[in-house]
Amino acid sequence: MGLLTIIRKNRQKEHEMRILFLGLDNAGKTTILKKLNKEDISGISPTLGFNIKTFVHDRYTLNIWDVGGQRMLRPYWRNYFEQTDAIVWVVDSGDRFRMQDCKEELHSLLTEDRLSGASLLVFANKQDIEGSMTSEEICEALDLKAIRTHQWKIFSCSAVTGQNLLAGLNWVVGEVANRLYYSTT
Amino acid sequence: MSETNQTLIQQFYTSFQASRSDLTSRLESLKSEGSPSADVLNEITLEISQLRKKLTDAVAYLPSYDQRQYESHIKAIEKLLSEIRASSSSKSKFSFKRKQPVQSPSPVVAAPSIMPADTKLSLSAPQSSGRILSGRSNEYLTTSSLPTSSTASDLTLTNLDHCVVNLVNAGLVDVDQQTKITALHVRDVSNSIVILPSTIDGSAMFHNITKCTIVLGCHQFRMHTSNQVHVYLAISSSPIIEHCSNISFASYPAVLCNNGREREMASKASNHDSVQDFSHIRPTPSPNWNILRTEMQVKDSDWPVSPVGDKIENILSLLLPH
Ligand SMILES: Nc1nc2c(ncn2[C@@H]2O[C@H](COP(=O)(O)OP(=O)(O)O)[C@@H](O)[C@H]2O)c(=O)[nH]1
Ligand SMILES: [Mg+2]
Repeated sequence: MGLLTIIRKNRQKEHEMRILFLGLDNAGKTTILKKLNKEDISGISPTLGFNIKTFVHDRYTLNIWDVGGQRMLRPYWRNYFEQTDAIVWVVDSGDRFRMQDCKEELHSLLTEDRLSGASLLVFANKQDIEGSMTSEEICEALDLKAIRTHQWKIFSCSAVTGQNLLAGLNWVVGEVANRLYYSTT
Repeated sequence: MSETNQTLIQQFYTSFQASRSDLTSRLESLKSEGSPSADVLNEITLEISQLRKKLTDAVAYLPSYDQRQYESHIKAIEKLLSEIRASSSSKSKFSFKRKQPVQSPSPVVAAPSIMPADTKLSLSAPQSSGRILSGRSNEYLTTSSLPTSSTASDLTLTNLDHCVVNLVNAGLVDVDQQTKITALHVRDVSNSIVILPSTIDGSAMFHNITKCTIVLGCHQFRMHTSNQVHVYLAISSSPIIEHCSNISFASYPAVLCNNGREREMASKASNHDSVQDFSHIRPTPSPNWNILRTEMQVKDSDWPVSPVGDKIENILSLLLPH
């Protein structure tokens, strides 16, 4: 048995993944995580620095890093890139003013070497707010079609109602699992 | 995790780091010296494979996360080695020495295929269908100034100058329905008074606000690049400012509440004094905000809760921060 096989076997036992939640401030990253973890979502303060959450989803242990999105903090994002299996990019679908900013941050993020290969889930969040942009509009506004370096998919969701959060998470966990645990290379 | 495993993990770490830094520094110096002998390279190759073997033996007790780290460190060392081999073999092209077998390269990862969105694209540019008040000056604005057709629950105020915006106490029967707001965006507003309900059921974003007085209650409050603003705020989380100066905070004035729910929100959510300045992440107090002293606050009877006609300029100069 070669080393890779052994490591793969061992990983199958532990099923661990590292997922980075990023996006502009106010997108709903912390709220989504709390909702997924079935915690109370009222009274969340904006994130200064980062939170780490570990929770079990299906047969996997997810190490999730929720990093503050304020402009001041964005240069520090890179400190969290090492060994990232997936990026979840959260968008406030009602924030038309900052879509351009959001697009630029996302595309520059994806040029990072250390994130190459990571799967990308885009959450078009806050769909419960009437008047929000649809996932199609966001797909276009962020120019997702131009992304050739990462496997990506966009899901519309709401952290408040919980709509589609699990579907998105399932997709990204499945992507990573295929790559890490079941690939035959 | 058991005590023994913890010890093993620690021991592995120490010995791995020692080998790693030894190998790396030897390779770095070979790289700078150039044309290393085949023997030296073979020796290093052997040591790397021994290190790999050690890692293989340790997978039983190493957390998978650590394994991946170690694995990537070994990969980095191998990469360095193969770079040196490549450059030395190209230099010795014309010698009759047998070329060293090159380490088998790591499997080539196929470029990921594009995963299309699961939904069809619309071609129209994003356009707010929401409630928006935009491009007004010297006006008294109320709920009746909002587009009536919109069912949106977000509210956008942008490009306002010398205005009073009053979205409370419009004297309407169905105030709550008319003014239900689940997200608020305010941008490029100056010299204005903005009065919003204490019951905004979501977050509020302010950007580029100058010389204004703002009243609201919300779940989260973020203000960017603003200057000289008085904020009367009912909030249960910590308000955030970033790239701001001269911002003063006070509690939501009870006199502006029109019903029990508004009064309840205004009185119980009193975190307006726990502001965090993300531009000033130091133990010292931020110079960019303070608590608005009582004598500086707008008097209960002075709030412009009904249309002011042509007195707008007087009212603004009386009530705005100066
Ligand atoms: N209506 C609505 N509000 C949301 C949703 N997700 C987050 N929010 C609100 O948006 C604000 C920012 O959320 P937060 O999780 O702190 O954003 P972060 O900066 O990305 O971590 C909070 O006031 C949340 O209550 C959502 O799906 N719908
Ligand atoms: Mg957060």
